[in-house]
Amino acid sequence: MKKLLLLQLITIMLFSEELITPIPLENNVNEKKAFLGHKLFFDVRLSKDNTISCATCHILDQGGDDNLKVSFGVDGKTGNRNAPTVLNSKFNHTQFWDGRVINLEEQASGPIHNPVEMNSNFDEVITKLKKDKKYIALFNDIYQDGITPKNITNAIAEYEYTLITPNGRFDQFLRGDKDALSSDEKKGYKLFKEYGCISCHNGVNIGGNLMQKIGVIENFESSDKGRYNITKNEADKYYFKVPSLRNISLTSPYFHDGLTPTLKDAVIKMSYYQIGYTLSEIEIDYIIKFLHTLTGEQNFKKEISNE
Amino acid sequence: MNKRIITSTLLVMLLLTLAFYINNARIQNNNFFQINDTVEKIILYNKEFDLYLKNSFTYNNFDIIENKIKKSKQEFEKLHSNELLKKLDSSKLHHLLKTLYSQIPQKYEIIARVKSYRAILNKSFVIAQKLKKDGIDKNLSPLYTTIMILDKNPELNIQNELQKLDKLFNMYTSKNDKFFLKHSKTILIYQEKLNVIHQNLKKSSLETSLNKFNTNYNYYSQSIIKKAYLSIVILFILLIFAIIFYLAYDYNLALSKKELSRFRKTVEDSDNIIVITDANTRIKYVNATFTKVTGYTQEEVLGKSPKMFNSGEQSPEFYKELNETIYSGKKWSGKFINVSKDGTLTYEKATITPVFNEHNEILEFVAIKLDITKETKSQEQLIKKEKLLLQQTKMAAMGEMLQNIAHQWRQPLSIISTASTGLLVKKELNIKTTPEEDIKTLNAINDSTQYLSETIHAFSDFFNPSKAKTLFKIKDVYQKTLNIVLSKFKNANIEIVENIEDISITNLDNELIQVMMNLLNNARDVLITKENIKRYIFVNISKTDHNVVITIKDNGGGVPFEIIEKIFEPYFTTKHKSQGIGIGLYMCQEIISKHMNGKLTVNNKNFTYKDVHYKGAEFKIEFPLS
Repeated sequence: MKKLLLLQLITIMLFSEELITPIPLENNVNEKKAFLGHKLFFDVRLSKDNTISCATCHILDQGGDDNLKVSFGVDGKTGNRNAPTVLNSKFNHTQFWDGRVINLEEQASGPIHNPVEMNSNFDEVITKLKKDKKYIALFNDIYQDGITPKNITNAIAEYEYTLITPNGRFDQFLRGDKDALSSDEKKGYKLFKEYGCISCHNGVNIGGNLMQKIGVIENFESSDKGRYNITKNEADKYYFKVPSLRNISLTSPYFHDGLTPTLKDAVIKMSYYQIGYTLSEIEIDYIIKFLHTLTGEQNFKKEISNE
Repeated sequence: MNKRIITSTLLVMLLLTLAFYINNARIQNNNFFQINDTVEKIILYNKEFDLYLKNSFTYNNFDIIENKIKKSKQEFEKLHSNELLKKLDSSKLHHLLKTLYSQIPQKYEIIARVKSYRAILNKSFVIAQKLKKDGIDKNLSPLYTTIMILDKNPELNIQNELQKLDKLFNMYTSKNDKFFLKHSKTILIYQEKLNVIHQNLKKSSLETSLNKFNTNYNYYSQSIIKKAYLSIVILFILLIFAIIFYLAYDYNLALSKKELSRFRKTVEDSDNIIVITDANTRIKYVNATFTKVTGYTQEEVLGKSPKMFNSGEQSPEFYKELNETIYSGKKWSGKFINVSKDGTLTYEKATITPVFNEHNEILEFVAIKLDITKETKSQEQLIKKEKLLLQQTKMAAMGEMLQNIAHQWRQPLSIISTASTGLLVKKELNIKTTPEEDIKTLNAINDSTQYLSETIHAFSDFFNPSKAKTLFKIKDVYQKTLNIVLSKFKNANIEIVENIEDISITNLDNELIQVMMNLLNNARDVLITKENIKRYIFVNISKTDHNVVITIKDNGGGVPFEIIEKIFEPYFTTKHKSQGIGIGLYMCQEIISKHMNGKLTVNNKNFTYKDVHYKGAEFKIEFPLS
């Protein structure tokens, strides 16, 4: 029995080494598509009244979100969920808080049609884009069928593939630079593993690859039932996409409802609802220090150039 | 030409069908391998998923399983969107597919669920381990052991354990113990949930469904592909046959075309006029000779009726008979008198042949005509000339006759004159004559008159050409001839040596007289030029088995070698102009050969008569006995 337990522990230890992988340093994207996607990402014509672009809520130099509880759409309308960051979204295995789509192409059409976001549709968008000779030329250069819904989202997704933050200090640590993290930060990472945070926040994006119930140990009070809204399956109640922790210090406020303004509050809430435990102040401090090491280099093209 | 197009079209169609079938088979084949490949991949992924689901809980990097799910979903999407799979005509396969389409997404959901449960379990395990390490009540050690080997102990009644565990919450008060109990409970709850999932998994095995589909699909595809290949093989064989047939046909066509072109060239270059009409006698072809003879070009006559050449010289009955013959399908031969473009008449010897199609219907008429205008005209001229000649001969003969008559009548007339004058003088001078003397004188007059009468009779007979063949004795005819010409011969001191058989024949007697008279006169004309010899004419009349042979031979030296071939030609003469016009022998030969069915020949003969050696010409007349 003891041997069995030992074996179990060894395997756990072995596997735990690979639970988080660094963001690849190489990123192959189609430059032409990304250029077009970049233009579209910043183009307000994607919204009904030409006021909102993708970049309105995904502010690239503010962590890829808008740092608001919930975002404002056309006519100042608001939704009920916090805007997730667009950064590293290519490493997420599902998109949206409820994981209703699996890729960025599908994701991109969501806000265009959402009445509280851009409140538009592809017919309107394409009509507007077709008046722009530059767009016609750019689309025709890449796609045989020119401006189509599929090609619009394809180009936007391609641009989003460029929005990655590699080579953060934690990635350097994962790549073998043991000095990349301070001892406090290393302690934070240790706690992160010991308290089982890593059981949900793993993979290259430290999250984004699992649907999990919020409130496993203690019930989480929320009017938003998460994935249940999509599947109407009792077992899906309060299931949300486990968000990426990369650049987490830049993407406040936290959780799907955006009701948690600070990282400390977020750590406390997580430890309470998910592990049913009250962490000590020093433990929280270590963990937060660790979380700050997850911020990576942001060398992507941010502003639209004046052409 | 039409057949060629049809054959070519058929061949092309067959080829296209074959190409279509091959392409179809290729698509089906590709599709089969594609689907097969997809299903195999899904099966492989499913095996990995099953392995993942069976595995005991360990820390997981969910990226790994998510990447596999992503790939599996791509394959599933391929299967789902395959157009040909939607068109399968097998209800069994459709049913199996339907099962797959519901089971595969279920699998993804199960994995998602298991992932989240496992994340919770993993988390609680590490916390339990941490707490055990940090120190918990010793009495909780059995519980720790239980939860640690929970997944290796499927017989354990988790519900019982949970009930037991609930009681423990009140017995332990330390923060760590309570925390430990909380997570032990979480582990029990979620392990139970996992167990339920595992039980459900066993009930509906996606793997079984996948394998079943794969097997059935393989079987189905193979039968389809087999069918496709069979049709290709059949089509291919058909194509080969068609090509062979086509080539053979083409070869034959080329051969007959070559023959036809040769034939056509012959037709075009022919000296014959060739006119081809359709069944309604509309002209559809004429050759170059046609244009040369009639003056009409091809363009002027195409589509028209040959009636336009009708000269009106031939009766409507003639054309009626012609039409009846050819429309009854028989060949017609005859002569046309047609009119050319310039209005001149052309004589054409024609053959019109109907040509039939395979249904034995008249397709066209081919008229082959020979322009015989020149020949016809020269023949007409010849006939005219002959008539003229005959007239001339008659006139010549008449002159001769009159000469003869004058000659023969001289003596009897002088007798009559002398006798009557003598009698008259005696009466005027009153010289007494005895009645015997008177009677003698009157008898002499009477005899002479009788003679005159006879000679006139002979001449008048001669001038009446025989209308019909009559039975006569050749000897009599010879005698008559001799009577006419005899006086001339006596003057010329010519001896006629006769050797005559008594032969009766049926033929033209007056014509024979004319011929013999001519030959005798010719002999005499030659002989009187010869001095210092005894002049002979040998007349021989005899018969062979079938023929009568009359020879008239002289001892005049014979016909000179260089003219012997020419003596029967008209207007050829050796005599002085005043003596002859050169038609005698020509007419003789015409009469013998054309009117009496015989022949007249000439030869030079060397012979001995009364110990003297002579040379002379022998004319031989031969004609049948009957």
